[in-house]
Amino acid sequence: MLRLYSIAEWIAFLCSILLFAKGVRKEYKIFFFYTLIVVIVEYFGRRMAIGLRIPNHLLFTFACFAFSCFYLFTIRSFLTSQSHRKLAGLFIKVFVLLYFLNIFFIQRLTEFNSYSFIFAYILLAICCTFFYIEFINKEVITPFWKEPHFFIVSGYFIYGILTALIYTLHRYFAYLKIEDTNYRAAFVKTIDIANTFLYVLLAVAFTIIWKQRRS
Amino acid sequence: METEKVISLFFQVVLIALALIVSFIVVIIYIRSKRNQDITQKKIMQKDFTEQLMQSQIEVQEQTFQQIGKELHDNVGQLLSTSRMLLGLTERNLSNPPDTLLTANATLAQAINELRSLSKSLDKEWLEQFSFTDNLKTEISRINAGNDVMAEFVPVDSMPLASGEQIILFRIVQEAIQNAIKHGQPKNILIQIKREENSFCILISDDGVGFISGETIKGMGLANMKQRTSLLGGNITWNSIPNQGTTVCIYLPLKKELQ
Repeated sequence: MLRLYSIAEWIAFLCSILLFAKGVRKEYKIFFFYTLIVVIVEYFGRRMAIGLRIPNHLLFTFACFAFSCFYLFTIRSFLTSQSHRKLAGLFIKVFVLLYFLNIFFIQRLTEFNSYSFIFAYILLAICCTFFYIEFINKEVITPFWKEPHFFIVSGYFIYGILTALIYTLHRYFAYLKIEDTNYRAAFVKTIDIANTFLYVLLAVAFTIIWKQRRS
Repeated sequence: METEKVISLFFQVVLIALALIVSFIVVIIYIRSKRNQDITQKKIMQKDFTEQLMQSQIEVQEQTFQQIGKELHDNVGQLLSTSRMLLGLTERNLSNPPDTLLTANATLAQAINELRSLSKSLDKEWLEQFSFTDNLKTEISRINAGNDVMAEFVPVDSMPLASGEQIILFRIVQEAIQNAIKHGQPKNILIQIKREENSFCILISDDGVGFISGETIKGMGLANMKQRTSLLGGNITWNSIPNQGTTVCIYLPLKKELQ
């Protein structure tokens, strides 16, 4: 049975097709490829875990790395302040460096590289805050329902913070040696909520972009 | 028991985090909408201020025109009238007055008439007694009296404008005619009024030297015309072809109560 976040994921994917409509700015088309890869990764991840019964942490370690970079890059492109853009660029470099350090020296490839993504999502939340600061201070009338970037960033923000929190708690429970089975359901539910928020907000943003296309 | 506590704590932390994130986003939306309101208010205030400034500039101009008109009428006009009276007296005292004296007297009479007509066209209080059409007809007669340019006006039954607005419009057309005579050296000037569904358009066309369209139009007179038109809620455009003439289009919206 499809989980709620899978439905949201498919809705986001279908809405991203709208970005190929005439009059939509070219750079938004990248979101279609992002949602397409998300759907593919999700499908293979589930097949590996449930159907083939092989660990999928490697797939998600690489996929989450790509997605995190994508989130940071897109937010960086939404920022207008030069200093914010520079910081976002620096964050991307630091994250990539830390990711490889983690792969080679800390968590390696034996488990899901959660430390890297906790760090990435913290950086993502900071970048989102930069965006919100710019959003509030805009000198033009900006109704939020006409601002697709606001929805995209809000999706990243909710997803990033919740996921970072979950990964941190997961590490903490592991440190306390609490059995995985005790909190697995709650963990999965929270991840589902975070994912649903992300994809629903992305779908809303894609629809706004499509509605605002130049005729 | 310890495990249950930890899991309960997990849920609490996640719920609090989610509530905080959502509240944070709601606060952002609230601040943004407040800011939108502030910007809207600021824009309205700026618009009001600009309109008031334009209005007062126009009032000052009108007062200046009125003062010049009165000065021309009361001072220069009186001097010319006295001169004409003296010429008349001289003419009567001579049994056979020379042609030059008669021509001088007639020219002076024409000058007095033109001066009166000009002083009236500068006097807002005088103009307010008549409609835009009447005032424009008088202006056309004044221009045609000069015999240098032939101006023609195709009048309409009524102008859907309030009295004060008719004066503003008259000043715009007056400036357009003056500009055409001053810079275009035309032989003919045609003024037409075209009424459309929700607007009307006043066209002032001449067959003068024109200018290259797209060139930046500068000058105080043109700025005044733009200001006055925007005060009426309309817009003004200049279309010109070199050596073929210029057409000034004044588009004004029809106000609902006057439609």
